[in-house]
This record gives sequence, structure tokens and C-alpha cells, in this order.
Amino acid sequence: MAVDNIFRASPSTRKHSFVDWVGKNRSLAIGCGLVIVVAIACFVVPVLSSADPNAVDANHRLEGISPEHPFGTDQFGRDVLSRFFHGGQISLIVGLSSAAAATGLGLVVGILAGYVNWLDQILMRIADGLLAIPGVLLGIGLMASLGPEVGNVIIAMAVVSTPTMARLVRSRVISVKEETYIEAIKLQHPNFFRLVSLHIVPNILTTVVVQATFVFADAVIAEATLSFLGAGVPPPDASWGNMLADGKTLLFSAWWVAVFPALGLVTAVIGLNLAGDGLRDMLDPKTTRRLR
Amino acid sequence: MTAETANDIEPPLLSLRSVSVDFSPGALARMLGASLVKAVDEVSFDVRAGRTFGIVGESGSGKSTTVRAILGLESISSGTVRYNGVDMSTLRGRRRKIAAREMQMVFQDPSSALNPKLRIRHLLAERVKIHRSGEYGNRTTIVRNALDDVGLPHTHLDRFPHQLSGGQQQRVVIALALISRPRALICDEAVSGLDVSSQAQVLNLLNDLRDDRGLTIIFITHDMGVARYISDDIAVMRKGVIVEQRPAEEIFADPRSDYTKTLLTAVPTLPRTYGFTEV
Repeated sequence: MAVDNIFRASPSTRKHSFVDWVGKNRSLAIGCGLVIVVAIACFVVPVLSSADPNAVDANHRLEGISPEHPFGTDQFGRDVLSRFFHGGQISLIVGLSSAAAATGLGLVVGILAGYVNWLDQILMRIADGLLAIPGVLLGIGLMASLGPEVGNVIIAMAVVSTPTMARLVRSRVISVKEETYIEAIKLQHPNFFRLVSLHIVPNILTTVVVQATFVFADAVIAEATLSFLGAGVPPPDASWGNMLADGKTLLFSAWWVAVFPALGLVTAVIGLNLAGDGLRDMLDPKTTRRLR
Repeated sequence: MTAETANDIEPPLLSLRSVSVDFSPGALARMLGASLVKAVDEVSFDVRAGRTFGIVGESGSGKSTTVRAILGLESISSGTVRYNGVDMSTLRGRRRKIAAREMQMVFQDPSSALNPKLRIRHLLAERVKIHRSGEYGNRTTIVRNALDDVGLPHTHLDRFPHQLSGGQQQRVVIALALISRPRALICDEAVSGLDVSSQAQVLNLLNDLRDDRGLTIIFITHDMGVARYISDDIAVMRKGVIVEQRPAEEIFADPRSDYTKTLLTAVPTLPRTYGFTEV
């Protein structure tokens, strides 16, 4: 037993079987699994079926679960199943792109604030200002001024999530730039871009990646919230949020209209949060050595 | 060594005149009556090219602050540091960069002085890029030669710093320093964190570098045994002041200041020789 442990800790035996890896990172494996299943379903199924998610059929309104409509139909006779997949697509795309935008923007702003002293005050006060407004309110406000379009939902949510990311990046940069290896490299007078890209970014990246998965999860929820309130993805295009809005008055008469998009939302968000937790455990500096 | 005779005519490579470094207390501490801390107080010494200058003293004596001030990591409150006869504070831009390149630092804890995310190969290649960009096409050769210089096998190129031992890491740090073809190496407690056999190897490596390439070494240590083994000249520091400064043999044969005597008696009596025979 003891011998086995010694071999595990040594860097020469780095190969782990997939089963081993899943066993050690159960939350990462389950989380990634859920996200992948939802993503594949939302992006592959609509390609295979020709059903139009926006096709209105006045003769089959609010029909329950049946072979033609496995998830039933809504108050306009639209097929909930095909709306579920199309809506999921939009929700995930909006979530992913706004998380990516917020991460990229947050990295730039955070590094500048953490590294350039006079910019720090300016950028962080702006971030404080944005953080002072509740996220949903800020999102609604931005949507009201930008106009109802999917692209604008992404912009609005990127603006909402950037300050949190920027603050996190800034705090990591401030601690990393005190490290001896940064002092050592600064003595060589490297150019700023190389210093940041080779020495600072790689050392803050794990934190950023973990945070980005949580931002992704939050963005999926935020998109749903905005759409539910009518300030998000404009009808008739489906998103899980506006499907919930469609179904909210029908919860007791036609539960399927709201319940299926809700399930999709819950699955995606739980998956992303589990994946984030798992990533954090895996990338934590204290456990990195053992897992690599 | 030929450097011995040349030194008498040549100006010192590095010379400090009445250098002081003050640490001023924060606003709150000042209100509570804290006064200025003189970490380094009017320190003067000359370091001649091709020799090893040891600075010894207990923790907090200002040894590290002195060399950090030389490199510009601490700001000097008064006095001048001359490198090659030129006042360091007047150097700007490209000339400042050249001076920085010619004086390389070796830190106490090698594990924190190496970027943990880069492989040894990339750490070394980056120094080539910064200091010898004209030769970047030959970086593979330069990087391999640098490893040869410090006696590390090429198989270590693809390792990450944490996969090396402390002694090996410190040699990587020295290899990094050598890439810029420095004239002086400033070693701040460079062997304090290493076990005795690694200490011996690193010290012998430094001695070889001095003898073979005429490198000037400024060596900070609190260990009198190490100082005696490596230094040609020694300055003993206490509370920011140099209390005694003479050639190494003289200091050990006939310590003048009481503080030096105390330091010498504080050396553990366990016999220590820095050849490989003992270890």
C-alpha cells in the first residue's frame, strides 16, 4: 500500500487511466458530462429534425405529451420539444459568449489595474460603480437602451459580469507581481507584453478559468432572468427564459410548457457549477502536483 | 591568476560611497512615534573585477538591502553607487539596461525565483530573447551551453522547476544569469536554502565561474564557513554599518572587531570542508 503511494506521487508515473481520473474528480466528470449532454442535444438535434420551432398551429394548442409532440405544445400550438432545443442553443450561446467576453475584458482591465498604479484607481472606481447596481437591473437598463436583440443581450451581460472578473484578476496580479520570479525577470528589463503574457497570465490563469465557468453558469441564469422579464431574447425566438415566461400562467393547466425549459436550465447550470468546482479542486496549487 | 596584477591598475568594477537606505514608517506609525529606520547606514566598499566579495552579518544587518539597492530594487536615500566608474543613478534607458544585464542576481530561494509555469527550456530561451535577441536563431545551442556551464544534463530541459531539486534549481538560476554574459553575479544567500552537498556543488560552481571567466561575485551569507570558503575580501555588517572590511584570510586569522569575533565563535565546531571528500 505504502509502496503504491510512493509511486503515485513521483513525477515519472504521471499516466492515470480515465477511470482513475473520473474517480478523483467526480464533480468535474459529472459536471462536464451534464454540460456536454445538454450542449450536444441542443446543437445536434435541431440539425437532424426539420421541425420549425416558431411554426404556429392553431388547431393543436396546449396539447399534452404525445408521440408527435413529446414535450407537448404551447398556447400558440408550437412544438415545445423543438423550442426547447432551439431555446437551449440560444441560452448556451448567449451564456458562453458573454462569459468569454467578460473573461477577456476582465483580464485586460484587471491586469492594467493590477499593474499600472494610476489606472488602478480609475478602473476600480468604475468597476465599483457598476457593481453597486444590481446585475439584473443593470442588464434591464442596458437592454432598454440598446434595443431587444440577441447580440445586445450578450453585450449587456458581458458588461454586468466584467467588473467581478476584473476585480479577481486584479487581486491575483497584485499578489503574483510580488513573487520573486517576477522581481527576477523585471531586473532583466523585459518588455511589458512579454512580462504579462509569459510570467503573469500563466500564473493567474487557473483562477481565471475556474471563475469563467462560474461566470458562464451565472450568465445562463442571467439570460433566462432577462428573457423571463421580457428584456432578453425577443419573441418569437425561443430561449429557456422566455419559454418560462410563456409557461408561467399555464403552470397548473399545461405544466409542460414551463417545466421542460426549467429542467434544461437547471441541468446546464448544475453541470457548469459542478465542472467549476471540479476544475478548482484539480487546479488548486496544492493538489496540482499529484494529479499531473 | 592574472587578474591579481591587473586589479591594481584597474578601477573597481563596483564601488559604493556612503550609501544609505532608509525605510520611512507609515503615517500611522509616525504618529505613534516610530522614527526613520536606517537599514543601510553610510556603507562604502569597492568590489574588484574577478574577485569574490563576501558580505557577512546576522539577519537584519542590512546585507540584502545593500545589494538590492545596488540593483535598484530599493531606493537609495544618499550616497552613490558607481558601476565601472559611472554613477548608476545617472544611467537611463539602454545604458541602464546594459548595466542591469551585466550584474545578475541569484536569489536565496531558487524555487520561488523560477516561474513555476515555464519549462526550463522556455525559461532559458526567454533570456536569450531578452538579452541576445540577435542570436535567437541559435537559442538551442545557447540554452544547451548554459546548462553545460552549470553541469546540468540536457534531459532537464523539458522539466518544470518543481521537478528539480533545490541545488538543481539554483543551478538553473545561475544558468539563466549566465545567458546574459554578466560581469558580476550578486548572490543573496544563494546557498542558505540548500543542503550541505548541494551547497558544496553550487559554491564550487561559483568558484569555477570566477576562475574560468573572471566573473566578479558578490556573495551575501550569514554562514562564516561559507564566507571563508568562497570570499577573497569580506565586509562584516551589523545594524546597517560595515564594522570590518579586509581580505578574507586576515579577517579569519586576526578578527579586529568584537562583533567579528562573536560571529566567528558562533560558527558550529563541526568540521566542514567544501570539497566533495567530506560529503
